[in-house]
Amino acid sequence: MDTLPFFEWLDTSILADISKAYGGTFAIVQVFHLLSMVVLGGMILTSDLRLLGVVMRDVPVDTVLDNTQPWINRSLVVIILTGIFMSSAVAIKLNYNEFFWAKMASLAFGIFFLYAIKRPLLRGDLSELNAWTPKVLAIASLTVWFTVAASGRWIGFS
Amino acid sequence: MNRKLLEKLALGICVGVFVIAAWFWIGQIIDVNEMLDMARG
Repeated sequence: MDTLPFFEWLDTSILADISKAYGGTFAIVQVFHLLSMVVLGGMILTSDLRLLGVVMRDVPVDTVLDNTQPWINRSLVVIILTGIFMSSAVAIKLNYNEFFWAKMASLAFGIFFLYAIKRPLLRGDLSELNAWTPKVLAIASLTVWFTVAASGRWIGFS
Repeated sequence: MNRKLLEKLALGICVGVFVIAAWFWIGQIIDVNEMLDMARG
């Protein structure tokens, strides 16, 4: 699939005009992108480490998952919106960056894994599941979100 | 979806995640090492 036309369109859009012309605006949007990443990373770590039995063992898994999920939802919305704005500044370059695509693929998979697999499976009585299932899910989740974060950072090095 | 079926599907997907992540990151480490070797001459 040729993605270049989309990135050419993004490169000439009003978002690109703003992000290229006003460095201060870009910086402020980037702050919100990074803050949301911190929130997302913190909530993912909290929920997955709880599933692994590493942190907050005195708090029920359901309580931890239910309280982290709204912050995961909010931070994902902010990350995606600010990410589209930030990518408009270097749209053509990103189209040819393999780590950008690695990040997008792992982000899309991470969202699918969270909302279609992890949450539906862990909602309800965990004693019905194999004792190892929540732990394997947590390790897979940490692996996926680590790949999202690390490949995102790697964009800057490539 | 039946919960037991979803559990099996989830575990299968997790195995896929581990295999693909290992392939991706080991490949990147090999690439970086090759670039460092080339840079050193």
